[in-house]
Amino acid sequence: MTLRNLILSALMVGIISGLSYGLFQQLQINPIIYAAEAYEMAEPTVDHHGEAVVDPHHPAVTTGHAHGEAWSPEDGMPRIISTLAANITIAFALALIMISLMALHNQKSAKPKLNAVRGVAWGMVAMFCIFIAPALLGLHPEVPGTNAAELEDRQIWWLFCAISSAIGIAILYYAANNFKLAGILLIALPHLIGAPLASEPGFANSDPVAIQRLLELSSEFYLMTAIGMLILFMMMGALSGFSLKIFFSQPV
Amino acid sequence: MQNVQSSTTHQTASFAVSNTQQILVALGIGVALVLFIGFAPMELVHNAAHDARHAFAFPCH
Repeated sequence: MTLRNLILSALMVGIISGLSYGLFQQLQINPIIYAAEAYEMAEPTVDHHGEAVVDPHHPAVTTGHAHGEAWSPEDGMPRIISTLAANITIAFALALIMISLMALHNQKSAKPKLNAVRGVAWGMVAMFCIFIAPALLGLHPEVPGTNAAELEDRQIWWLFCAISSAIGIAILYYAANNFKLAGILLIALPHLIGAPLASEPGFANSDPVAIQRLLELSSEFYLMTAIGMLILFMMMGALSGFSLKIFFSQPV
Repeated sequence: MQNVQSSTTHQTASFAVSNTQQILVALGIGVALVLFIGFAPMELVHNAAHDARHAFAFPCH
């Protein structure tokens, strides 16, 4: 009963918020990704306007960096559908985590129970743990073709940062005053250790015109992902809090 | 009418028993799914979720 309610609520929240973020991404973020990918290739051709020229004989240029031979969605509709499906699945999974933690809160904590408004606050905390701390303050959102440290190191640091931030905030909120310092330390720890950054910051492409354009694309990408994440997590938090209020009324 | 009410009460009571375990199972499913779609190194998953991974600012390639 509980599990079914949790999954159905997360599905509802995930589909609504993931689809919204997916549409936002198609309109505002993907044009930046596609533009950056045009510069990502080893030997891009750049015309005198500084725009990358896509070589029609190398269609791989537009499908990005499909490593190896694995299936990769064709450009156009398949890629859009595939990305939307991934957006919705990630949003569903994040909503399931959020709703489960909210249910634990309602069950175990004497603090006020969840509703849509408190849900928005949870959404902002989630945005901090999942986007602001690991990405904006740490690894930075990357357009394709950005130099970066080893993928595994970055993934481990990202996960460590997200979990450490979440536990830190939970301690600040739930624990007795004596322990609150530990919460602050846990939030700060990933940044004291430091995100694994590229030994040589910049882009794979060394052409100065391309670098200039990639820098512009990077700052647009920062801004747009931040706006998109704000929309996503506000919706996710509000809807999750609302579903808690409806589907998980406390047993008397 | 009374029947309906008593069965509701019964249901709420029984769902409180295994509640915490079920919540933890849901939490585990959520975490596993994020790791799979957002972080799994399999090329197929990477390619399909590529643009979404970038848009969520997950580390990607």
